[in-house]
Amino acid sequence: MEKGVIMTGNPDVLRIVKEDILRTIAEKKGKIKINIIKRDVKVYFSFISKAIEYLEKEGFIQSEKGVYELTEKGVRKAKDILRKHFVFENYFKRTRTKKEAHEIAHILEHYVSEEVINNIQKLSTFKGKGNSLAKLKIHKSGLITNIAISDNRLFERMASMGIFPGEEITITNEVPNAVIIKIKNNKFALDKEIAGKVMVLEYEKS
Amino acid sequence: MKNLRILLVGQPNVGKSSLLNALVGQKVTVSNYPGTTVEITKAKKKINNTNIEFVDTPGIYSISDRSEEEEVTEKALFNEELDVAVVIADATSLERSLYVVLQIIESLIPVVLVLNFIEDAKKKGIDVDCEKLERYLNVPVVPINPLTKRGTSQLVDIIMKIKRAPMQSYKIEYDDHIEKGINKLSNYIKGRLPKRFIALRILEEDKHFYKYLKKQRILEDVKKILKVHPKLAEDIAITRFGTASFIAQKVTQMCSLKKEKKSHDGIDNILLHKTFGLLATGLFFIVIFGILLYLGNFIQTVFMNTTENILSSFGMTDHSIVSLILMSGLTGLAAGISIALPYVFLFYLLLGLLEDVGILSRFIVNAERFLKKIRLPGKSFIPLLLGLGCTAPATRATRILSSKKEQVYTASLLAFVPCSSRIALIMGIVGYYGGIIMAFSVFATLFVAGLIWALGIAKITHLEREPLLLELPPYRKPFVKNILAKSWLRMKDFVYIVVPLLALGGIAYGILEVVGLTSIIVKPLSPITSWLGLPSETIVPLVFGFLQKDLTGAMLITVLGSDISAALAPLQIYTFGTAAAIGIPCIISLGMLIREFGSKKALFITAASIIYGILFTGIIWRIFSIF
Repeated sequence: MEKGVIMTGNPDVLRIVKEDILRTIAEKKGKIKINIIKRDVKVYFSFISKAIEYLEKEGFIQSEKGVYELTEKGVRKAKDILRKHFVFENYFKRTRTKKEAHEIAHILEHYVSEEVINNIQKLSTFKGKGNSLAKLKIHKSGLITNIAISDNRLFERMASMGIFPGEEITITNEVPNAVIIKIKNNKFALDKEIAGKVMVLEYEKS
Repeated sequence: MKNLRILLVGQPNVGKSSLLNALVGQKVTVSNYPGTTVEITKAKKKINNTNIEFVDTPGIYSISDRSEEEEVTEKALFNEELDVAVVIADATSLERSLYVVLQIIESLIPVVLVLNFIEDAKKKGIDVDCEKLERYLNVPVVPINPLTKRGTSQLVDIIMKIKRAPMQSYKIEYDDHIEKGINKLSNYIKGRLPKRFIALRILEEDKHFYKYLKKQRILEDVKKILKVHPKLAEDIAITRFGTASFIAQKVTQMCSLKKEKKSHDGIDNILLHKTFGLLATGLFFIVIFGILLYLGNFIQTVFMNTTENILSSFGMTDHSIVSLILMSGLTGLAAGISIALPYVFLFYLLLGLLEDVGILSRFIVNAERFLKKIRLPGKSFIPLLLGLGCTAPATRATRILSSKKEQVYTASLLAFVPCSSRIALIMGIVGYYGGIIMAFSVFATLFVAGLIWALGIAKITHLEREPLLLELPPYRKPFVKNILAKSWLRMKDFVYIVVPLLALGGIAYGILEVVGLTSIIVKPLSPITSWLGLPSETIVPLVFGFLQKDLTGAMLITVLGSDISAALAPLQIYTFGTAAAIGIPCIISLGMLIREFGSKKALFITAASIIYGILFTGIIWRIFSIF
């Protein structure tokens, strides 16, 4: 089956649209008007209104006078979506053509559900790759979007320690030689030199 | 009778050693900062006609070629026969534990996955479905708690039943290009290890595995296929991590996250503060030093009296050569036991406490601020710190550093880190006869000399700086048993190697004394003593101190008489103390250097540090004597 083509009748479509909406709201700092959703999530409007209806019913979003906002549950879900997105975004960034991007998606299809890949291929609207971790202020959080380290061993070491694109990262302390970061429940001292090569998309911690 | 060899593998701090403790019930070391187990710990247990050998390995986050400790684990995994690898995973952060699990599964070694910290995870709202995980990976999964021994008997049962043959476990599928590359490379791989695994390691540019290639040229061909992956090694790591995180997500359920009751961020706000952190680190060591000197002194007096009583009870009144030599051997031994032992043990005990609580890793971060100025990685703090106990085990501890260059460099710095014997000498001779200020000037001189030495080396050698990347473990309540066990492990070197050699050093000194060789060196080496501004007889304790450092003080009294303050001016006492304490201190540390780095490097470090030390001390003496 050709991936990336949304067909009506596919039970996953609604889910994809729902996730898209959550992501779009998250990108806009958690609050958004319906026409922005319409502009950014490029599917039939009937789909969008249907999806919004479900999202509200399931308690992911709440609305007030046409402004939609993520609930706590919605924030969690949106973070999860963003996280997956970055893992793949990292891949697609390196490959130039659509065809190559498609090839690499082959890797992912083995362990990531189809709808995620569909979702990812549809996403091209994501803006910004973030700032260097060295510029992130203390107590701020963000998602790692990229680790631009040429030393393979160091990269693998970081990956195996759990410092990886897509992870949520918080700076808890700062000393002159390093930043102290928290990923999940683990704390690390990360050299300023390395921190300069870790790209992070900052967001307000909820 | 059946024999089983079981390897315990996992990331640092995941509870390998505690599990070994729970399984075997023997004293093994447990620590709370990365890099304690440099060597492999083994423990045996017999269950129903089966000899099980458990092997504890240094913590690894992944199979890669970063440091010597990881190499030790790799060797244990791939170069030796083993039946099962028990991989310990942390339930609170499953996905990164799964990384190394997937790598070991790739190598087709039979794996049993053990989940630790399940209770901690539950408290944090993380619930891991073990059965689901078992189905995904197709390896046995056992939840354990080494403290309550939960799951240990189940684990042993599984180990006993497991088949040696490779299992059909989870297989990561890489993208088509990488898979093609693996297949092509597999045809050119030799050896008994699984070809797919080796091929992957080679594609990840792990040079240790290049030796399995039949034809080196093939690698270039394969790389051509893989042009779509300009960062191939990274892509493989990403896929593996992606898989780990996918599986972790599938088997983990996040319950409603309650606010953690106890957060230790407050402590970190002080210990990892840019100014308070340094102050705290400094203060801690001053306090430790104080305790060490005070308590050490107390224990030393007790020990001294006891050993003196024992020695005198031998009552060797005849002055035959044999009894003289024997006597000096016993004196050497007694000096070692009464002077060095209490200090070393107390110091390692305190260090173990710092480690287990989790503070030490924070200190490493603070120390790295200065260490990086002399081009040393943060980890070098550990051997340098151990040097305050005994130089020989500290030399061995340099193994935790990644490169030979760094190891040799750090070991050479130990020439300026006063060990317990040297501290005792400085406090006992310089402090007693010259006053406490003189004693501290000796410490300061050592520090300055070491700093200049380090800056010099940093300038002339091209050491690649290893950036700081250190996990900071959560603060944990220390267990007395663990700390004692660990201190003992570190003491073992000292007790079994250093102490007997101290007796030998004493005997050697006794022989030289009887034969009358000691006075022979006085004249030829008088240029050294005159450079240092010391009476020529002082060369005897300076030279023979190298055989037995703890006897330096006693020898000084022998050659100068008991009234040292009359024989030496205060400044001379200072110069003597500095000259005796500077440089690689004794024949035992020289031996350890030879063992670690070969005789050429070892002799060079020793000679260079001593010559430099003598020159430096002479210069300082000249500067001081102007005033």
